[in-house]
Amino acid sequence: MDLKYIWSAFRRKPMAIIGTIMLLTVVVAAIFAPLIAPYDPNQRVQVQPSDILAPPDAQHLLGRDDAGKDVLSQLIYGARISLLVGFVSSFVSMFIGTSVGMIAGYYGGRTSNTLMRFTDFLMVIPDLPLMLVIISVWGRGLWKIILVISVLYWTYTARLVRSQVLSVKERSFVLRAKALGASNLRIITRHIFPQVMPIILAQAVLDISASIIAESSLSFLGLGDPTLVSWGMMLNFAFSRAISRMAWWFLLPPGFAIVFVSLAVILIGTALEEIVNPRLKTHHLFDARKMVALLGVRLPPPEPEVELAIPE
Amino acid sequence: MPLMEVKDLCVDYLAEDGTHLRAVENVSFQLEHGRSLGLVGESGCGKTTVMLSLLRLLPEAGRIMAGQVLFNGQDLLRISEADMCQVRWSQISLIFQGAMNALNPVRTIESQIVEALRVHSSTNGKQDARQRAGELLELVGIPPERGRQYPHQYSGGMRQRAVIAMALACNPRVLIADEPTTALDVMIQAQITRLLQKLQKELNLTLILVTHDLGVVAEICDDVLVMYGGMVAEYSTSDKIYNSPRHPYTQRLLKAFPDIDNPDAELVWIPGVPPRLDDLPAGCRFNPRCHLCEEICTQQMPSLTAVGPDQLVACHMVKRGVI
Amino acid sequence: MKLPALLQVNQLHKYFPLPQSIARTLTRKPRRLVHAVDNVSFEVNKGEILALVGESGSGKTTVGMNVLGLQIPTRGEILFDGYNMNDWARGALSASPGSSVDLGILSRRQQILALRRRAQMIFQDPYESLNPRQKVFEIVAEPLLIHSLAPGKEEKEERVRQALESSGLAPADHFWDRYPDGLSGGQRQRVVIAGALVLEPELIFADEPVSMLDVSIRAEFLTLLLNIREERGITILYTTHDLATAGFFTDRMAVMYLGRIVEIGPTRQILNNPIHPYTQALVSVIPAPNPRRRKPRVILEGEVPNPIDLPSGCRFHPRCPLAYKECSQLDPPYINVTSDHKVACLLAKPSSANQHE
Repeated sequence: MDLKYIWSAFRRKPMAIIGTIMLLTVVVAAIFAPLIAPYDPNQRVQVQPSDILAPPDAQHLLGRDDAGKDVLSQLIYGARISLLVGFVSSFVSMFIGTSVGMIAGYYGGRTSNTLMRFTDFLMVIPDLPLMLVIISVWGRGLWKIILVISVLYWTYTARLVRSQVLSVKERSFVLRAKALGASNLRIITRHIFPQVMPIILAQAVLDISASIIAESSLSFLGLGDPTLVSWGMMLNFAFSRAISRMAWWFLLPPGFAIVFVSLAVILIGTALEEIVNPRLKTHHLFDARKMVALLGVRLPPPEPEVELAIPE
Repeated sequence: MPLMEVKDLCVDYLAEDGTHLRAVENVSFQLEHGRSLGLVGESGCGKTTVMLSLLRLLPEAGRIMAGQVLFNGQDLLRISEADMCQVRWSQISLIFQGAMNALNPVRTIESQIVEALRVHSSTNGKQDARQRAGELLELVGIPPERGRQYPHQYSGGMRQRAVIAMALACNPRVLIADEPTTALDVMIQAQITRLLQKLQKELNLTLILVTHDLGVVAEICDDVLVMYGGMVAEYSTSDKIYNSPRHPYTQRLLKAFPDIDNPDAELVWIPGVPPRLDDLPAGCRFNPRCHLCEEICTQQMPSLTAVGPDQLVACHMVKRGVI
Repeated sequence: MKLPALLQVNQLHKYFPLPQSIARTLTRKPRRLVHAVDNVSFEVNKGEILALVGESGSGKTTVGMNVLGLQIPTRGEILFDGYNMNDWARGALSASPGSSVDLGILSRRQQILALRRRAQMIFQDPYESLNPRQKVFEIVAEPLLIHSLAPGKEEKEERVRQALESSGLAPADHFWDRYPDGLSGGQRQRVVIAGALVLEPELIFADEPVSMLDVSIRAEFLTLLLNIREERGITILYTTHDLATAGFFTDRMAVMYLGRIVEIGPTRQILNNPIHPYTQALVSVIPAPNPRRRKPRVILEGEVPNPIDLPSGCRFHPRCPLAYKECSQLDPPYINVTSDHKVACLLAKPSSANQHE
């Protein structure tokens, strides 16, 4: 299963296309924020009392917030934070999780036991409360948030990778590499990792969604970076100040944005997961693809069953 | 009156871009009651495709383009899907290649047989079905008490027997087995072939054995159909195929088989590889590898001609008197 | 003067411990073991082809894995060209006098590499033994990279080309840009052979290389192995459960059952005159490719029992058609039927014209 195959299966799934379009919209908005947003949220503006929580009008399509600033611009700039935290945290936790899972899976024995018990330990502790404690003690800041999320969210990937590595390392071509004299490093990087990579990819995409929600939750609870506009922060202010005034234009958009991006990422991730899910070698009574491949015919990729990747 | 008659079966596979690739061309044969037919050929020759077509179980990309499969007064290719379901398993049963590895691992063997029975409403109620399952297990040489065990508790040979028991659940008249002995140890292979022979006799079963192993076919088949590149090369009785093969492919195929009683016999094999479906040669599909190839072979597909009683060969050299 | 054998296996034992319940551990019961290989000894001379014949559970693959150092023996000794493989596998290589290269001064990694160059393996499943993400060229060139051979691009190409063409995949550039999934089973096996040949090894362990190939191409493939032996003098250790293929191209044969060798000797001799009842049964079930020559088959009932709870006395006695009382009590010693043909059976008699019912 290589990238070409994954891509051709991917673009046949409506779910995947929809998710990609949704995500691309947000990414484009985030990148071109200075060009798209009507106002710069960081700019100081002269505000009159009537501007506070003003409802939408022609100049402010989503109205104004509790400080009189334009909600729409904040929404667009907020995308940057969510996406940044989402992608970076996911990448870092994927890196940590993959390394732990690979080492535990390949070496086994005491190494594996130690690593896995540590992983279980982290997994069992409720993530959000722990994040709250750490941020409260350590201090607020964007990179601190990214780090905290990464350091707690790699556990699922680690378990997933480990169970995959356990099965891949029994395959004949790995034994062949050993028989040739390949070093452990070579076997792990050249032979095992490429087989595990698609699964990691699918999981990493899903992790993005989880990270975005984690960041939004932290910001909502007031632990976000105070110097930056984020959707969670907007919700925080909206909750404390806009509800009484029924200012739905301040309350709903950030919440909707969080759901929108999470949904986009989950659609993409789920589609990927369906494609790359490891199937048992002989789960079909006959593998039509293998049989017909001998005849030189290329069939379209089979419709995979919907299965969840169950960690060991 | 033969039990089953296949006439000019043609099957295509659809490539990704929609073009038709002819996998099986004009295959015809007859199945006589109580006799066993060996469908022989190398991997990719189309024998599995033919087998699946008989029961209309082709994968999604497969299309039966022409032909007839006459069974019990009906043309199986033209009856409705609902009627076809009545035929599958109850009249014509099938053992897939590798079926012994495809048993449901979380259900007992007995429950899987019972399920087959109940799906085909072959018995009255669960109690009856269980008893029948026990009988079937005994028939294939498995102690009935072991029916309550799971597939992983069975050895490979026993799993193959269990699969055979399942296939016989509804008392079919025809049993098709695709490579039933591949992937088994040689002693277990002998047990399974002996079992198939016994079942054939006791149940008056008509057997179609699809395999690349000429040794197994020599052991238990009465008639042999040799396929190459989707077409029939030779169709005859087992005795004639092995002792007086006429088609050049059959002759070379037999010579590639090591004979333990004749260790110094020269082993020849056929250079080259079987054709790919998207790159089929014009005319006779064997012509690029045939030592008797002449111009007509590259232009026209030969048809099956009788070269004697019970012996049909598809080769232009028949008319020339060369073979 | 007879040269020492290239490979000497002396009283090899390989047991795998079974995982056991806590209760069992606490009550200090002896650990249950899988007796995969139990006291196997044999020799292979340079350039010889030895077949290890047996069904699943006979231990033939385990023997090869230990010979190649991919597993560490539980007990016993494996000497490859004079080197004691156990020590090597444990990282402390020692060479006995007479071996051709002094490896004592190399690091552990270098020792491993030095031995890997000389003994290679080919596998049973052509669909599993190639990395699906590597092109044929990379697959065959990888050993060169691992062993830092052929540093230049041209040198690599040349060696890969030679290896591919020696394996029957010519012209090489027609194949080396392809991925394994575009190749047939037979072609894949040739790629595996090429990957083994590129290092120019002295010993190849071929683990059932043709069982998953069509019967019609097995002969071609085994002839390839035969040619490799003729041209390069490579010693081959070949496992199979099918006596017919062993009969076709091997010089000597060792029949294994439940971890023991029950009969060993020149292949032709054993096939013409099998002494051990197990060998006799195996020979009788070889299918004759002719319905007129269907002969009576001795089909053993049941299956090879698991190698955990071994039968008492002779391991084969529960299934043996000729077993009598002593067979369940005594473990048969090896009897020399001829100078190079040994059988482990109480019924065997040490004479050259040995035949019993």
